[in-house]
Amino acid sequence: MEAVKQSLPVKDIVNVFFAREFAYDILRRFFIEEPSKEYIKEFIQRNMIDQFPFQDESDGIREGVQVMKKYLSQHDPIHIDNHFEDLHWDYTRMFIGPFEILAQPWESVYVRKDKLLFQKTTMDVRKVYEKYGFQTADFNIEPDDHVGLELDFVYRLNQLCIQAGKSERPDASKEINYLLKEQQRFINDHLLAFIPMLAEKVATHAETDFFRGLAKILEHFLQMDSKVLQELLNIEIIQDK
Amino acid sequence: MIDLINKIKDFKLTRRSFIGWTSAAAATVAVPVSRGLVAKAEVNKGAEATNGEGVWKTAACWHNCGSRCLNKVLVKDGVVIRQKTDDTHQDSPDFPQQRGCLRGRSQRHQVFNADRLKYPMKRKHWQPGGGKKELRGKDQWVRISWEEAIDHIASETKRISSKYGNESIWVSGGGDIKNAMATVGGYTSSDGTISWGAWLYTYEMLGVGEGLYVQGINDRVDLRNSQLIVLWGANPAWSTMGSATYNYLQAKKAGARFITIDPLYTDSANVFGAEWVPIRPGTDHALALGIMHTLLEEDDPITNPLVKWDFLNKYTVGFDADHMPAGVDKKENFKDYILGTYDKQPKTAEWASEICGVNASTIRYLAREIGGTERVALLTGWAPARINNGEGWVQAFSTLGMMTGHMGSSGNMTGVSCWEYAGNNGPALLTPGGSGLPEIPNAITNVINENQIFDAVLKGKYLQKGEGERNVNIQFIYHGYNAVLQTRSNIMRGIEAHRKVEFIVTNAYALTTTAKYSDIVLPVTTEWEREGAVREGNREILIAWSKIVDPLYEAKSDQEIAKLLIKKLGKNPEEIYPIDEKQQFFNQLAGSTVVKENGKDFEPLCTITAKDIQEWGVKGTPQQGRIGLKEFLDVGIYQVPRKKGDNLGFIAYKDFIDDPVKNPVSSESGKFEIYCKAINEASKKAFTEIAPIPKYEPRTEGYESTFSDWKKKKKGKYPFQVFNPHYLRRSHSTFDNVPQLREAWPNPVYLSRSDADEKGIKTGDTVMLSNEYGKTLRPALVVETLMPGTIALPHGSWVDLDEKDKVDRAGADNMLVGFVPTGLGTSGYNTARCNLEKWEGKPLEEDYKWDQRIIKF
Repeated sequence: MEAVKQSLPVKDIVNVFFAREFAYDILRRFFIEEPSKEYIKEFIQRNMIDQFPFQDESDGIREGVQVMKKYLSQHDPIHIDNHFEDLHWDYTRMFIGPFEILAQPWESVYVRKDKLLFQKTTMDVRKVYEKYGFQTADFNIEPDDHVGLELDFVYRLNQLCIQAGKSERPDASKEINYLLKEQQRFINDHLLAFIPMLAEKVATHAETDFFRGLAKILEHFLQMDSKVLQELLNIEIIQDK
Repeated sequence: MIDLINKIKDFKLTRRSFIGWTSAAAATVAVPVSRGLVAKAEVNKGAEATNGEGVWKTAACWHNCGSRCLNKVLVKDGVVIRQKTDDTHQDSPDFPQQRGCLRGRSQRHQVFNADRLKYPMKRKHWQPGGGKKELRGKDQWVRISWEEAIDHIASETKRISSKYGNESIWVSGGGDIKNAMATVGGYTSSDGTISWGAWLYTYEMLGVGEGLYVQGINDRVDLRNSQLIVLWGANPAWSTMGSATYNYLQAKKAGARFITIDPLYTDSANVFGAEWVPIRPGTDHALALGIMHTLLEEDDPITNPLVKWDFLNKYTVGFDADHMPAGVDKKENFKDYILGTYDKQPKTAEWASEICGVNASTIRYLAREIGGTERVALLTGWAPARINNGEGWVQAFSTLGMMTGHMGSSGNMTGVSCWEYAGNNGPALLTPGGSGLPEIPNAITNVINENQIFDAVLKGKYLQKGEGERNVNIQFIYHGYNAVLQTRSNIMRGIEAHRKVEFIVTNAYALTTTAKYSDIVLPVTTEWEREGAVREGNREILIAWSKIVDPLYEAKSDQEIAKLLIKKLGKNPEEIYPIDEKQQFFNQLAGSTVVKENGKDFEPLCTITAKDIQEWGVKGTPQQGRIGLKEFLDVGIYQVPRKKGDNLGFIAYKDFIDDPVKNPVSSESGKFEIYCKAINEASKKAFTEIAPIPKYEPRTEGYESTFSDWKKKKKGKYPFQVFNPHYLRRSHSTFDNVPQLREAWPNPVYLSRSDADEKGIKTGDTVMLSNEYGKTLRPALVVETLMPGTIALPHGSWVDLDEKDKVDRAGADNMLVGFVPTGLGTSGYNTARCNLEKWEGKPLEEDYKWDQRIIKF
């Protein structure tokens, strides 16, 4: 007997989108550029790390959260300049240079034999962005397959899901379904193709538990999110009445 | 699987989290993210990739490798997906393709390498005035905006020049940064003999060619007329990629025999089936004297005419007492020096053998072969002259050619054969047009010899050539594009100098060694990201390359950087750069000329129409030329075909030989000067005195210095000679960061079998070379093809210094080359000596597996 497909109303599903928005916002911000004092302040004072979703479902996320909390219990980057500068430098040295880049943040480096940037891998990602009317703010300055940009892209597609969910348009569930498929494809084809390797490099080279924990969260959250998307795709989304 | 349904249904959990998530989102939305995705300006949603095969474009291969070849790239959907080289016509000996080498074909790997310098960056502890200067090379870095970078550079330029004077600003290399500094009062510059060695400061005084500005050998078609080709310290298979080796092969096919005189049995020797005469570095001069002694000893004008007396008498000055210039001691002639008439030391084959390591019998054999063969090409690279006290070698080598008459006629030539003109001298058959930019004069006259530059920074004085000692207080170093700290002598001393001054800036596209020890680094574009240029190569070609991709990352061209700086310094960039880079490229194209069939007159190369000018958006006038502008750019090369008997051949010095009075050479007397008063005079105002005739003197840090007791032949503290062959994985230091080149050419140190056996060293063992200047590691490659007592350490490897034990892991040659200014200020890269030992620390891993630029904090 065929399993009956479970169904949920859009408004319930949107809650998952808020969780994802919360998570992807943290991840994209910390991976796209050096940490800013302003955001770190919000991050710590709002105790955002404790609220990171799917901790109960994923040992990896939970462990990553603990590592970050350990860092935060011993450091005070809001008030102690040195602590903030060490975080800033940890990002710079791992992801920017100018010395050897310890954890190259670009997909190309991990999936291409020649490890070169601005090649087909970068352009394939660019084409996906273009399909949704996006381009990188630093066009041709930062390769499109930078981890922070790829996370930003998923963040934005998730926002489109939230908008659709709120829109009360008759075809909203169809649109959401399509966007979920697209996100899952992008996560599997691009992000998960290199994040496990990138996370390993961060684990090896980070000088702060902040980034060590964050990389662990990144890897396990993406794996979890891919499963979440799969489950959402198995659910029939019912248009709110 | 997670139970998502229940999770969502679990109102309590969701509700609590929901409030946290959404309130965090609401609060942080105002915190800016400065990078990320934005709405695309031109709406092109869902556009499919353009199909098709892509377009082949001519791309720059612009390096200082000593060759110029055609490099083409396949661009598809804005991506360079493949490279190829010259297939614009069928290949033949008379009309060869200009094929690129492994480095050019790896150009993609340099332009798109993940290790590109992407943003302006500042050393974290740098402050105006220096800021923990000792941390240079190991400090943290902060990415900064262009505006901030230019602000810092401009304000430091003002502060330092007003406090210490413009003399305190040293700009290395040339180019646009010099223009910028020239607009605000000038800068101290540095100068050296770089690749040329002793040829550069001597050739004009001697009246011979140095191989680039003045051509001293015949063209490649005439090379086929030589019966014997002597390659003396020249290895085109490694040092002149492109078509040079092919030129020599045509001579081989035509019947020429080859002899190579070299510490290493080279790949060229292998290809040409040459007889190998192994020699110690820096001792070629002694060998030449030994050969010339044999020539005098065995010469008989009737039965064995080895010496061409008519040639010497008619074209040279100073060979014997009867042909000395007026007003000098006749006893100081060259012949009596060789015979030992006055110094009681004949420069016999045996005398030479003790120094150079070539058997006396072989020396005599060489004399008979060179003197007794009718048509000989005596060809040398610059390497044997890149030595301390090297000026005499240039003169001795040239004298050998004069003595045997191998100059100025078909199949006969004596001179430098290297760089783009290897085996093929003669005036260029095509010339590129100028860019049209004005020259900007420098108000500061300081020129510091490169052998002294780091000492000058540390000690505050140097020798101004032709004048005497000057004080100088360098406080600001700007490396416009040279990798000076890597490619000039004594890296450790250089690092010390770089940690003394108040401010250092480097423009670079990867973290070169100079960039690493700087305060501010600025990312520059590669040639692939610029408008384009017309470049000459060997005399038969002109190459035009065009822009391949838009500037990557935040990189800017050198000109853009100079303009920003000039503006910030309160001057008008338009005066220095009145035309843009596109107009400059156009001017080069429009001004390019090609020789007519008569071999004398030139005509414009490109036909340019009013429509072309309009499409380009530049200023210009239409002109009639050999080929259309677009065609030239599409093909990327114009090459003049050669054939035997055409009007384009070249015999070096032929005008002088035909009429020495009407067509004098560049020396004071107008003849070839075996006695050269000018060199002697110039040396008195330089570093060490040079005799007017090529007398042998032990080289500073040469073979003799490897002994503590020369007479008893007791070896000293640094018993091995070390020299630096140019190595195919890089061009000087450029390309050394490309992993696939590292894998193809693993950069070992070459050790001779006998030395290695004595030390118990096997191929693959990590060994340390050391002397008082520095220490460096390399895996050993034990070979039968190297002069014993000699170590070949390939040139240009990117230094990788462990700050704790001061040992370089990369095998950087200039860890071992001291700076000892001798003679006219020749840089002696091939005279160094060292100790050799097995490394007891952690063995080296092949460097292609290394992360790019490894620094431990």
